[in-house]
Amino acid sequence: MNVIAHSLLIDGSFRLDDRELLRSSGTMEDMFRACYKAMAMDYPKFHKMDAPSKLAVLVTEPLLQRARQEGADLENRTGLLGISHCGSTVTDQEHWDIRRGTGLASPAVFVYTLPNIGLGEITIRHRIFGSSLCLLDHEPKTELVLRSIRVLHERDRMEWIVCLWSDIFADRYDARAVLLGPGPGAPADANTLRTLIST
Amino acid sequence: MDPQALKQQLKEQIITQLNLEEVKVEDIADDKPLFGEGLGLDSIDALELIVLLERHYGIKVTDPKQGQTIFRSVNTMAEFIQSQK
Amino acid sequence: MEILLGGPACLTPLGPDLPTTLAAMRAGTSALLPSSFPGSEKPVHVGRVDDVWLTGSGRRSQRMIGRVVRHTLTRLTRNLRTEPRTCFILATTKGDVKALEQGRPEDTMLPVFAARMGAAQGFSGQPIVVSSACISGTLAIKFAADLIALGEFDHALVVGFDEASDFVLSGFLALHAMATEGCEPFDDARDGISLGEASASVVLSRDRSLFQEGAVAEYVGGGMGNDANHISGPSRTGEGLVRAVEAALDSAGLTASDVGHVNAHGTGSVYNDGMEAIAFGRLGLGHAPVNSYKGYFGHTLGTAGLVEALIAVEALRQGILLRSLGATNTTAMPDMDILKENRDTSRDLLLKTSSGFGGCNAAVLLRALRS
Repeated sequence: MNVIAHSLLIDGSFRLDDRELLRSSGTMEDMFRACYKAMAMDYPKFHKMDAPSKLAVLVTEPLLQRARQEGADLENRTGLLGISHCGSTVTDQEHWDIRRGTGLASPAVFVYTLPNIGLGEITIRHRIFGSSLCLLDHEPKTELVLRSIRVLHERDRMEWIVCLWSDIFADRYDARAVLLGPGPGAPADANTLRTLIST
Repeated sequence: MDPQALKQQLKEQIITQLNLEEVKVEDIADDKPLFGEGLGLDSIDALELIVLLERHYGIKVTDPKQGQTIFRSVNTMAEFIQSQK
Repeated sequence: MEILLGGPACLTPLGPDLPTTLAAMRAGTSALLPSSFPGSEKPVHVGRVDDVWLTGSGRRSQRMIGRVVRHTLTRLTRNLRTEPRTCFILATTKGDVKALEQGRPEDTMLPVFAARMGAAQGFSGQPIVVSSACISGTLAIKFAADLIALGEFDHALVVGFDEASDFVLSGFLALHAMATEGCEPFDDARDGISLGEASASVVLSRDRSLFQEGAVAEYVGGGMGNDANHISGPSRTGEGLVRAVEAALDSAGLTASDVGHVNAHGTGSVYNDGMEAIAFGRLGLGHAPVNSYKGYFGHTLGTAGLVEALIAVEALRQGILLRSLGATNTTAMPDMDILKENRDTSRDLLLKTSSGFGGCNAAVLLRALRS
């Protein structure tokens, strides 16, 4: 598998391959809104998502658009790998604050209190029925990424894989994603993935 | 509360509570369907509206099925709230 | 060479170990008990692990895990802690979420929780956390087997854990998802889920000599599929579950007619169980006796797939299919062979399925090995 494209959304900067799509000095919410508008997503559901899901959807959006252009079989042969350190921690805290403060939980907040929901939102937006895997670790270790890619590719026979590291804590956010597939690109080996995801 | 003021307040609360970022108060006609082809709300939104009624109006809806009639439109929501007083 | 499972252990609301739990289930006992809950006018039914079964000190979560891991490790012929090429996988949804309720959010981070678990159990290195909602346990078995099949590791210790918490209960109450009484999976009158808690562990390996008492099952296949439909509502067509089971059968080179028993997710929610009935119908699994264990000890979230798979394997080893507790009237699902009584069996191929929030579904095929 080769790296077809890669993206990055970290503290005020949104990049696709080596191009900066957007830069902003605003808040996290401002930045997410600006990215949404810049990509003309027209997807009202986006605004109902929690911040970790928004981040995951935004950073993978240009990659999945690219995959579609490349003729990828998104429905059957595309897999998702999501790794995170904080998972849904910010939303967990929000759910708990509401529960403690009002005695009543918010259903719309509670359903996001799981680390895999961002991946679920990506599958819904792009109609991806194939394999997905949600893991948590302190950092995006190249070794774990490579092993998980092998599982999705060699065992689940996914021909295209979006591999995502995304993390939100307090108002800091850090997401990097790569699109792997059969087209021309740098081989998806340890060196390449280390550069694109792990550092 | 005056019915018109209540409806206005409900629209604002719906937009805030459900994060309907691209919707403005004037986009929600009093009789516009909230679900389906109207505002396009879903099952989680319906549950969130139940919480809205309890939090802001002190009304408990224990059976989510009731929501289907209560939350048909802003009109039906307002009528329901008035009938509970 | 086949991938084997051995040294199964669990701690459930029905008992401190697998034999006790299974004996209670054979007798038709439910551990779901009404308890009052702030924010709910009516009591909610929850399955809780009795603290008298927990030894040692420290967090309840770590003690629940410690109990099953110790059991599993003592059933091995070699010390897995020092065995090279061993991976340690934790399946959980919320880990030690009670720390958040106690005002220590930093302790709820799953990698932090996993690191403490690994250290407490004497393992070096960071355990891999699989957290895909309620399919975590089933997916962790598949992931471990895949890593071994690819030659990435020789052995895998898979641990599942989730605790019944105010955090989760308050959320399910807000979703109006809780059953009026104990949950009744697949029954016509089912009206919601009951929450449970459990820990479980097992070792996967190609090395038969690793297991003191022999292996209990062979891993024959696994699959995963997404609904791509809604984050909390099950698919109306069962699409993701159909794909997961098809992928599992495909990977094993088997067909639906080979399946001897289905241990389903069966939460007791109207939509989940209905979705499963549709999926199993589409898959041509009408011949296979189906049950859910949620009526015995509730929905144990991220550990559910693991603890239920281990119990189902042990039941098959004893030649029995357990009745789906709570399923009395099942006229709405005429095309499924829902187990209403315990039944003897000589079949050995188990299909274990799980479905979860985010629209994810997982299936594994395990062949029970009789001693």
